Amino acid sequence: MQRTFAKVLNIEQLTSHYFLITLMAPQLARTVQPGQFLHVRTGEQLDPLLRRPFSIHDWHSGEGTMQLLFQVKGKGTQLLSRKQKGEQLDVLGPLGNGFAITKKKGKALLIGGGIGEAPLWGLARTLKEAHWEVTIVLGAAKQTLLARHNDFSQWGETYIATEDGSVGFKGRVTNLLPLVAAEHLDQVYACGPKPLLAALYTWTNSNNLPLQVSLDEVMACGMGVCLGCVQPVGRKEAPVLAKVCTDGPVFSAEEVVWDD
Amino acid sequence: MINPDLTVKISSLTLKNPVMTASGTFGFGLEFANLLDLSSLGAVVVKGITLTPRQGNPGPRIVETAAGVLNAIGLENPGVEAFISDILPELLPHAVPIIVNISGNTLDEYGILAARLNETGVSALEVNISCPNVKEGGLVFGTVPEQAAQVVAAVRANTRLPVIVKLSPNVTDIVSISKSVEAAGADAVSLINTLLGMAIDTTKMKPVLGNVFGGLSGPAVKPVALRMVWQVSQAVSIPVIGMGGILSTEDALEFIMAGASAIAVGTGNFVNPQATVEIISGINSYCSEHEVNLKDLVGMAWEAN
Repeated sequence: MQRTFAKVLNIEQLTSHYFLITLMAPQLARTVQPGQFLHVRTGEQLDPLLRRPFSIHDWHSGEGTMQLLFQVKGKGTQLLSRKQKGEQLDVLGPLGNGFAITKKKGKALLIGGGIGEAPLWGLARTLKEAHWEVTIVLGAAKQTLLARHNDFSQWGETYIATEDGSVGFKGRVTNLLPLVAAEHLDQVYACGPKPLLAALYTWTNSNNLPLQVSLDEVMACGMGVCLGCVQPVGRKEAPVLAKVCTDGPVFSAEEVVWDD
Repeated sequence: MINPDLTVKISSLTLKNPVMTASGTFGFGLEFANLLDLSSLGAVVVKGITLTPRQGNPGPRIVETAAGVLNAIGLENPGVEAFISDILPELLPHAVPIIVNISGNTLDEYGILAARLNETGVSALEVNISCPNVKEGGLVFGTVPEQAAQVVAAVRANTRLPVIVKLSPNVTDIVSISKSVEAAGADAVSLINTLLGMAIDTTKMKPVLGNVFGGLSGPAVKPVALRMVWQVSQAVSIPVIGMGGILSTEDALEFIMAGASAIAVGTGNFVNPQATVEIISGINSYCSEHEVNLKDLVGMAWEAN
């Protein structure tokens, strides 16, 4: 982990909600694991004060570049969306424990809800490069809450669902699961809203599949010192509070204590 | 002046410069070791330690507010024994004074904690009588002068280490508390701890924090902290360690001119994990440029008043 001032090489608005920013950060790009994140200071201002954590979307150690795919939600992401090519961004990273690739090769299912597609891109590329067979299922409320759904097919067969039917199947991600041949899978990875992750866990559990989930939590430091971003893990009756920033953000779904 | 004197004396302890870390914002220091040279700091004040391990409060524990942060961590820590056996051996080789922030539920617990930390290699104790996020002890001890004095006396009787007392801003008269802890044997006071506050989630129509209330820190509290440092430092003769929203050299100098002999960076560590070292270098440049030593600046703003 390092702090660096990364030059903005490009910033692109992909939909009315989503931006893709490309940074020059050679030191950081060298050691990234899929699912890790950057903690970004959105500017010198005191409000918003704290850094914002963003999953690393993609990186290229050779070129020294990294990409963040983000959704404009509040003041911090709004400021980030206004960055210009050539500006410097104060970033800390790579942080956290990413997705674990547990076998030499196999068949993986990647499931993203909304902006949850962000870390799956780098994961899909890594898996594909490791000769895994990848299937991707992405879903969102509407088309503008999906960013790169058309590009994901380069990593594997891709299924899309939107609740309003504006693109792909009309319905939820979970409605698409019967299309996937669960019995052939070795690993399921997911990132998205908690209720989606909980529903996926029910599904993977009943199909006896291992599931890794990337969780999102409000963070201050991003490096395990403020103890702000806790997630109950372990036994439901006597949970332990894990830190999403350094124990996660990726957890094995069976560790997580899911809300009822 | 090429090399201004930045040293600070707190009783028997000499710090090479006035910049410390505020408890709870720097972990045990080790987490920052690859971002900065720990030995360049005046001191590392570690996360609050209790006699037995504490799991802390349920989430959400943190929420950002205008130019500030509300937290309700609830003193999560591994307990004093694990601190001494697992953490301290890794920390001591960094050659920086380690100040241990201690919290008790009872007077006895404060005494036991103080005694247990003798001869462990730590440099001083910071007595937390001001945590707003725990039900017992904590803030209760910090708001009544007689009770605060009793805690200090219990610690004093059990340690030869310098005793720093961390004061709560959630009081009517911080001067009377500071005088009473000075009389009870405190070697220094540190202020301010966080201001009690809350936030409400209008979508969920309920308080944001799991603990309902939390402690406010960051630039939002700086004017309150400065005012209290100004008042306390003129009322006591022991050193005052000032903190509350320090992010820059400018902020640190304000506290020093208000009467702080040393300062601590807290929430600023989250915003810029290298803020402490940047401030040390900034204070050094400022003193060089103005041809003064640090102690010449302490309370400098009083005179003009």
